[in-house]
Amino acid sequence: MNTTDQHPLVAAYLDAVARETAELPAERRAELLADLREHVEVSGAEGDDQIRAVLAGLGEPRTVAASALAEEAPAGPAAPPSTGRTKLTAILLGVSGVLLLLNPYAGAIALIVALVLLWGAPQWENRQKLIGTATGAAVPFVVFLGALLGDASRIGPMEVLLILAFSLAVPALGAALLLRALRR
Amino acid sequence: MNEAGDRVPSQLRKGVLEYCVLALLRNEPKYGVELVAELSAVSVMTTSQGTIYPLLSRLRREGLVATELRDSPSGPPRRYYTLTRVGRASLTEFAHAWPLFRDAVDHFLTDPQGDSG
Repeated sequence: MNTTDQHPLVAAYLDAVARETAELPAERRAELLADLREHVEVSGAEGDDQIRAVLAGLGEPRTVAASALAEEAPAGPAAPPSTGRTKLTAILLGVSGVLLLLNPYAGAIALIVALVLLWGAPQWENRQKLIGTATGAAVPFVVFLGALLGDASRIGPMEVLLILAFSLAVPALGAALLLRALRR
Repeated sequence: MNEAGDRVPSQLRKGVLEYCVLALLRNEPKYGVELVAELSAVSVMTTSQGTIYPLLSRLRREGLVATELRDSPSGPPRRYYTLTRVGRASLTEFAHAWPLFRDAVDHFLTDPQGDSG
């Protein structure tokens, strides 16, 4: 760290880049800011005019941020290699509902692992992650609701069948949507 | 340059800039400021030097380049970028494909009637 690092112009520039890259994963964003900071330091600019020139050379914060966001999006030519992981995520999510009914502990673990994998995967957009989460969480939600109303209403074989079908279909639908999103 | 005027060069850069970076590293490791200075010396290659860092970050994640922090005789330590074996293979592949691609584009630009002309 030297004095360049604390220079108000540099700080303002990095703040602007940081604001524009709020969507980037924290690690990627920190790396970009460190690279830009290092660029200014290594360029050896001193004084407002020189620092202004170096920052102008780097380009508008918005342009730099846009390029970082573009590199982060799933690239066309280099397909993400972790198809095994995405399949595992979808399968775990798909079976979590039924598993939850058979064995609440196993179901909960499957669902939690699936959600952790889902939100950690760069291949899916946030909207798809939300859909996956909603379909996975629907079964425990319905079971919970059922438990609340359980004493009041009599649960017959028809209701059991309905709950079973719901637990099977909704997470499976979520898993299918996630897998289909990757094939496009 | 305004956004509209920059569209064609910017579209073209997207596909080839990373190979220009790999080519610049072919003979020796270079640090970031050095790399962007050499790219900017050819005006169509970058308009905003800062955009090269996200690209370098991706190349590193894809294993095409490796980084290493080295002390500098003057000033702060510099992060050097080195071409990896995978990066060299990718550059070779591009170097073979590029002349065919360039000739094909030239063909359409200079002879819009195609082969029948």
